Amino acid sequence: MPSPTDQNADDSELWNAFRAGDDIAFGKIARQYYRSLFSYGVKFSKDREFVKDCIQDLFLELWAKRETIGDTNFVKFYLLKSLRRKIHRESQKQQWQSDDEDLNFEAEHVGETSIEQQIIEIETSEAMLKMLNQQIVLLTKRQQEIIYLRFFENMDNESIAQVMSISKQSVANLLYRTIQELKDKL
Amino acid sequence: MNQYQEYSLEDFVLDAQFQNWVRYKRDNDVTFWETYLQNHSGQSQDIMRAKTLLESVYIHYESHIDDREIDFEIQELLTKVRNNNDGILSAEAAGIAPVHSFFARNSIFWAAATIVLMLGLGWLYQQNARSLTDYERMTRGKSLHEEENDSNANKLITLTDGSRVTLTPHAKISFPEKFPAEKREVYLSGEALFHVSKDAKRPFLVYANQLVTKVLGTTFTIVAQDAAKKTSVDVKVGKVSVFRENDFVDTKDQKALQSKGMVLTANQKVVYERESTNMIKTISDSPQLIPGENTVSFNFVNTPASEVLTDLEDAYQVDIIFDKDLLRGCPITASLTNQSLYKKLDIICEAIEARYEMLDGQIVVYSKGCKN
Repeated sequence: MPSPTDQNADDSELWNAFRAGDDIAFGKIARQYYRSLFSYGVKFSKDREFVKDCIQDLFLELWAKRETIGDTNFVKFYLLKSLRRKIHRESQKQQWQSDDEDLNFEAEHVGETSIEQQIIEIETSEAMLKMLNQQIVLLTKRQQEIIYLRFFENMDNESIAQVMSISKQSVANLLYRTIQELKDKL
Repeated sequence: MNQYQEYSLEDFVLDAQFQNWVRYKRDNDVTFWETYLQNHSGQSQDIMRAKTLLESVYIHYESHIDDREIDFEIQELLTKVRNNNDGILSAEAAGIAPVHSFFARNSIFWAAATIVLMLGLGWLYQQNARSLTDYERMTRGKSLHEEENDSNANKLITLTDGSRVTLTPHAKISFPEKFPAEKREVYLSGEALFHVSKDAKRPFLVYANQLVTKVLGTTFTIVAQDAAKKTSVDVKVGKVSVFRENDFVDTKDQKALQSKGMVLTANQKVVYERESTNMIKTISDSPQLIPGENTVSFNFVNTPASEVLTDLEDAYQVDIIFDKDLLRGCPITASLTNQSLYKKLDIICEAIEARYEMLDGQIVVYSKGCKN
């Protein structure tokens, strides 16, 4: 799995080539961010094919807008935010009967089996992980999304605030509270 | 390194380098943090708790998608980009509802094409590989050291990592002169008992017929005769994961793999059938007592059958399923020290007019109870 790295010289070169219409560069950019986008997307919808379609559309839009797009240093952040918005919009259209205001953020498979199978890989005690796992499920959707963006995408509080359209202070408060809540269970 | 001395649990959890260590376990991070832990033992509790917290989050939210799946999506994306002129794409991007072309929505077309191609390749491959055993196919072209047991007695091999392998007659094993830093891979043909030395950072992988067995440190037997219909892995001590070779694409995407593997614990066994590619979990042929803190004598006098079975469960670390309330009314008086687990079960079941079955690696005892 690719490690989340910050923008560097290669990335901005790639970005410029893409803006100039280089489809190979575009493919590379899409490849680079695909896994992050997909992992994030499936937290909002269990329908993997739906998430893939949303990502396809997202990239097609990006390609169509390539000439007018800025010299962004925050590609991943921009993509995550756009994907979040798109999934929200599309799923509202699909499930017109649901009037959920916000997106539902949860792990792809909540259950004990996947965790038990992974115990073999790590040294921590089984009971502890099970308990923490149950605790995570009890967190609010927002808390869960914040720790996901912070721990999986290495995003800072400001970017998280932008992606989730909440204030930076709320992110900081919620993050702190979440860690306290989990810590108490250790 | 000094910045960390003032760190509390919260700071560690939020630190990117710390997160990377827990998440990716890369060698240089592992070295750094292990050294740090040794030198700052006062912080070890906070560090270990922070690590546990992060681990649970990583396990909880991990999603998996194959590299192949991603490649496929990128190909599809690029095809669309190349086939459509910009006018259409802009309209699509501007419009609220995305218009999906035939190829985009009907990815079933692509799937079908891919399968046909793969079948074609598979056939060619079969033609070429027909005469090769799995063992030959897997070891071919690799620079490996081979040990073969052509005697009539068992042969003990010690690997460079300290692991011991007992080859039964005619079995052979191939392994590199020196294991690389990230994993220990060996290839087996025939039957062998493995006693794998513990090394959490370097999984030990045994490729045998079409099964891959993954362990961190434990004892188990593999029976993998060339071209045999059945291949089995029998665990004596510890835990192993077993995968079909085809599923075991040794990528970094370990989580995708988890769902396809089977976890075996002590006294459990998996039988892989070549023809159906089914993996069947069962109990070992001769379950062994698991050395534990409290040894049971197995001498029972008027002991409820429910207690006897619970003792057996503990002693052999196998799951025995029975109706506790029902069997509490069935007293057993017997001396069960020297028999095998199966013999013990036979004796118990005969005494209380019950029977038992093996189901998915567990023992199920059926009884109507004892009404005296």
